[in-house]
Amino acid sequence: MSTPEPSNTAASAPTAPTAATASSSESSSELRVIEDATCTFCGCVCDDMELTVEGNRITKAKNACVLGKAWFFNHHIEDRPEALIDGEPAGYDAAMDRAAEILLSAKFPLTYGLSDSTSEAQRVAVAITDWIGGIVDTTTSVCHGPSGIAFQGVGEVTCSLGEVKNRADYVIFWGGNPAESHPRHFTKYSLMPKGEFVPRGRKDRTAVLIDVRKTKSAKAADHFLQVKPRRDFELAWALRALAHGLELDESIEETTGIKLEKLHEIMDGMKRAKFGVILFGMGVTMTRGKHLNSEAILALTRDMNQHTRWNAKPMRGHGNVTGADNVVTWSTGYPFGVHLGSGFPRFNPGEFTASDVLARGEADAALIIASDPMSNFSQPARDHLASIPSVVLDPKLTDTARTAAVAFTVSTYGINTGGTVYRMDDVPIPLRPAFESPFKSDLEILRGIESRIRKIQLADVSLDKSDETAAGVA
Amino acid sequence: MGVGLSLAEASIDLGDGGCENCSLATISRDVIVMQESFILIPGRTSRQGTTLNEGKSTAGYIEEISTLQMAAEDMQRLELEDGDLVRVYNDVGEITVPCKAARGDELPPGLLFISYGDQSSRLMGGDTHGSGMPDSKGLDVFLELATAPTTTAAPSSESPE
Repeated sequence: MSTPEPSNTAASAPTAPTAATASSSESSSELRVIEDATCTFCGCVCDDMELTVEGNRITKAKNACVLGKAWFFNHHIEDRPEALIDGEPAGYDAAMDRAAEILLSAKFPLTYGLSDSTSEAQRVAVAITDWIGGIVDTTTSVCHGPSGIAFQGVGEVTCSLGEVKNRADYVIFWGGNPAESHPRHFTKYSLMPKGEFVPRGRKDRTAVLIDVRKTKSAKAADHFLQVKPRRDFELAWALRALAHGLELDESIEETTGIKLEKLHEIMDGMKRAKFGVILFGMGVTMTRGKHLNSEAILALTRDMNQHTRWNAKPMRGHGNVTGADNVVTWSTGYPFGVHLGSGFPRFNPGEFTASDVLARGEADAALIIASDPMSNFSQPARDHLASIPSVVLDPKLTDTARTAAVAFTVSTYGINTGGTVYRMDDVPIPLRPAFESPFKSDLEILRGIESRIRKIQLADVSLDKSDETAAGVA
Repeated sequence: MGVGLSLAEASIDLGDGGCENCSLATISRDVIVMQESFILIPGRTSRQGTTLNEGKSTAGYIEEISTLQMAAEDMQRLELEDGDLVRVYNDVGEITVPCKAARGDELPPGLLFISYGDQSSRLMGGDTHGSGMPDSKGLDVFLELATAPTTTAAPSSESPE
């Protein structure tokens, strides 16, 4: 196996790193095959990729799904400057100096994004936020943040995808469309694979899809329950009642759009299962009710364990959004939306979450890593973000990077940069990068910013002590 | 629902009345416009995922996140054809996008779908109700032909496009 070291060899040229690109091309012009590479596009984090690399491009991606192929084939080295300061090309050193200035002079800075970066970089981002007394929030808050809130309310009876593969004989997909969002989930983990206790694979499993739309995923399911929009909570609560053996009024059919007879059939199947799992998506968390919807599904899962083994797991979108949850949790005690400005961590979704602090016009600077809120946040949040100085790290020139005071061009994690990511079931997986990039990684840029911030802060402390000493002598 | 969208010359005052899913608004030039209420589901699609990697400024991505899918029954009832421009709006914002019929029975009548992105986010409010998550799916919206004059019920701001 030919696996290059993680990229740490960025050029120091202030603008387009032509020399570095040429050097990189020269050293990697031969055709190489990277085995067991990891795709970081979605939360499946498939680690069985076989990549063919020609120069600075991946030309084949064996085992990759349609999304994975698009990910690998479209992340090549772009002819861009190392950084932009107020829209003008700049070198990394000047940009890191300016970034440190911006973040240190802010009173209520926000760190946001992180779901498409390595956990090593995420860790430094949390540290920076701590040093500057800001808020650290991740794309989880607009993804499965409500599920994170629900975990604290009712807990999470859960398992790994390996257990799903080897044991699950009853699989419910709720509020998600894996056929389009996680194309290999069915074949690699949840439906098709033959497992230790499901030796016939798909034939040994019952699959249910619950959604408001009859998506492409419906074809893969044995039962499709077309729930009325915004009725997921009521459906989960109805199933909870049936799990407890309670009678349901027929009005539940009008409420949920699903026949009572069908609900009984599903519950009977759930009770007969040896190992069931509910894999729920953002159809649950993004709809009115949010964390209450997740809580209802988690409570249903808990209740089902009175009968047989049942688990629940959120279907996570971005490649390392689960890593962001893990890193922020083991760093601060909370998974997202954490305020570190009081000298201790405070968690309060709605108060310390990115969408809120931007839409309310509270944050006065932002550090945004691997995310593009300028193209997917609410308009009030976008308007405010455009009005404050921001520091942005992204391999692509996104709308967010275009409005940044400092925009760093960085290498792509998993393709150019090694490190660790967490699969959607909280399993950490190492990356095997395919080819080197002349651009620095998120980790290198964040470390550079952190060291500058600390240098300035420690100098200020020394200065204060000198003043005190001088005053004492006087 | 059940009444087709149409423009009609009229001068009578219909007040605020309307059926469950539609309402009539008096607008300039004595024209009455039928507005229909729908529930909008923004979501991921395979094409959105692939074109996202090609670039957010590519024609494929922009087309994917800017095309509204409707149930064929709704389109037929509203006398809409694939490619017709429709204006979708709520109390937060508005977008004007082409519509097309959803595949088969993917969407039930009354439901709209658009690929998650810049356009769908313009209909998303800043309030998260203390959750950190704005209402991002299951949005109440009104829909009308984009060629119709602006209604009195529409948000005062111009399209942010």
